[in-house]
Amino acid sequence: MRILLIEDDQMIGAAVSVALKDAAYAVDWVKDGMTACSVLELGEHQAVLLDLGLPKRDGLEVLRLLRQRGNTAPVIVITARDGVGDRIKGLDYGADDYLVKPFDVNELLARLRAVIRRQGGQAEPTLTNGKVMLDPASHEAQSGNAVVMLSSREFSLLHALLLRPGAILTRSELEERIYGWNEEVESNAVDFLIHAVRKKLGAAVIKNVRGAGWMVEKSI
Amino acid sequence: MKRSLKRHLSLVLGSAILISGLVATVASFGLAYFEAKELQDDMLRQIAILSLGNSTDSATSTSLQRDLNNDGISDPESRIMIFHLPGDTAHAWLQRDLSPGLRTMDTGTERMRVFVRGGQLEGRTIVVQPTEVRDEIAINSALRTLIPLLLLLPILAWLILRIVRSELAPITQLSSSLDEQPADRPQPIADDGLPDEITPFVHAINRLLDRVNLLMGQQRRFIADAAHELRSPLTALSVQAENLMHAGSLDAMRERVIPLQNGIERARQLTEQLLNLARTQAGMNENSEVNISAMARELIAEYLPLAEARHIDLGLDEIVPLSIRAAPDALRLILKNALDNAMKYTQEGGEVTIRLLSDESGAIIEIVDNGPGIPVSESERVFDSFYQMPGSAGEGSGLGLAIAKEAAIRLGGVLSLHERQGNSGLVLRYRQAHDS
Repeated sequence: MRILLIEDDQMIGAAVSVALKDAAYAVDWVKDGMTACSVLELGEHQAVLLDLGLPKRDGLEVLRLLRQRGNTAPVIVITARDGVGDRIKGLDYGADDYLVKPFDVNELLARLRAVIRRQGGQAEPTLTNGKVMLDPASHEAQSGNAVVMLSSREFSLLHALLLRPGAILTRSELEERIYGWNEEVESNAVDFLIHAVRKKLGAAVIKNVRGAGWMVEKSI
Repeated sequence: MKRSLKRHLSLVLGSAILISGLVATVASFGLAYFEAKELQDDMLRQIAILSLGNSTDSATSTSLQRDLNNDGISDPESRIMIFHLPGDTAHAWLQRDLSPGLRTMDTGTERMRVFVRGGQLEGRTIVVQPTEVRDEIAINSALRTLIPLLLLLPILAWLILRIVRSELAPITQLSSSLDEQPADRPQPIADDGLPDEITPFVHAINRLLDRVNLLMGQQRRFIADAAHELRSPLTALSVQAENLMHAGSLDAMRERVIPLQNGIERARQLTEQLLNLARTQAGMNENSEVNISAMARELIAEYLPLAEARHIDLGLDEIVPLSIRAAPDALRLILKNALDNAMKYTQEGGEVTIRLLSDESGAIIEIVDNGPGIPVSESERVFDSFYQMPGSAGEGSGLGLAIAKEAAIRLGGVLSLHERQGNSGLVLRYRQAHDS
């Protein structure tokens, strides 16, 4: 799961990046509205954390532009502007949630999980295809009676697949969802992760479609 | 010493009217009393003259007396008696040798007013009336003249109270409308319908309220801004502390302590700047003669390590040696914040100069840099609390120049930002007039 963090404050940006990486997200961080707009055009991110008081282009402007272009990625606005009017404006401009500084990082992560979950069209807190169940809050996966703890990367991989059961994801699509810009990706990193997940949950959990990519089966 | 205008006015006016009323009462009573007595004396005289025609006939004299008593000329209570001497038998107390004229005589049982007409030879007419009756009549008629006056007194007193109260009502209303003002946002008082003597008062109060409102607005904005600005360092701190919790190893934890420490330092700096501003606004120490040249050298020495680390050429341009009367702490705060600002916006390899000069109006201290400068439109806003230049890296509190400006105002000087002539860069100028 790849997140775009748009925050001009050096310290907050750095700290939130670390917190998101700890929670197994791939994070890209930009510090001004202009860069944010051009990065969002690439559509590489599954969720956006947006500060409003940005240099060069205001956060609300970025949000408006994003929605105009038809980008539906969930957006959580993180800002020090706590007036009711500001919140209403933020939500009306197309934000999915609104968090006022200073916030608890655990709350941010929970809200992030919630907007991503709803984006996948489901309301239950856990993701499942009938065979395997994944809890995004605890990073625990369950297959049959076996409950296992996944590492950050393993979680990211399984999460990406479980968000769209039945859809085939290519290697590069998976890499894109697991790693941020500055992270070195080994050529067989995805194979390693799939191997690790299969080892923990059984080989049948992830299906390999030759020449196409990987998928988890859709529940019947 | 408090005094109520209303009570005072009522008291003074009331006693003035009461005293003059009393004097008038006594005077009119006396006048009416003596007038009534004189009238009765005249009446005795007239009766004597009227009865003279029948003086020879003693029988008619008694009938006259009867007439007098019965014909309604006088009421029976007036008890007027007429004697013709010789002839009538007079009371023993009426001596025979009474000389003509008016007198008061004592009968032993009561006092009588007696009028004697005519000498001893031709026969006399004597008209007698008891003084008791006369006095009663005189007093009664004198009292009657007092009735309107006595009735008027309470009406006057009531009128005075009413008038004083209604004349002073605008003042009472004014004070109650002031009492009803909300303390946090007092509104100006309307001056319509107020007496001319009070309007200057009201205007002065309104001017004061304006100033209070302005100041409170500034304070309110400042507190809101301060609370707002505290959010960023607090957010950073809370996330950094949480990250520490999730560090997998001791090394990772050490790595994550560093940003936390930086976050704490940033929060500390902001708090200190806020305190500086509060102290500056609260007032400052006594003025003394400050040697600016020496202060500038101290500051340059203080900033030299930072300047060298960033390869900035920091120097002094002392066109004239300067010395002004000011509060040293405040002046130092201005120069320090100005230097901070110049150092922050000057690139590596740049130049920052403190320039001391003076003209006919006063002393001038300039902090000159060759940084990128700022748009003219922003040159006033940079002095606003928490203002940050658009596109600036988001470091610092945005309070430095606001504090410097506040301190400058307190010192009676002017702090202004100018574009540098000829080169790119800024001139931050502090000007203080002589003897201010």
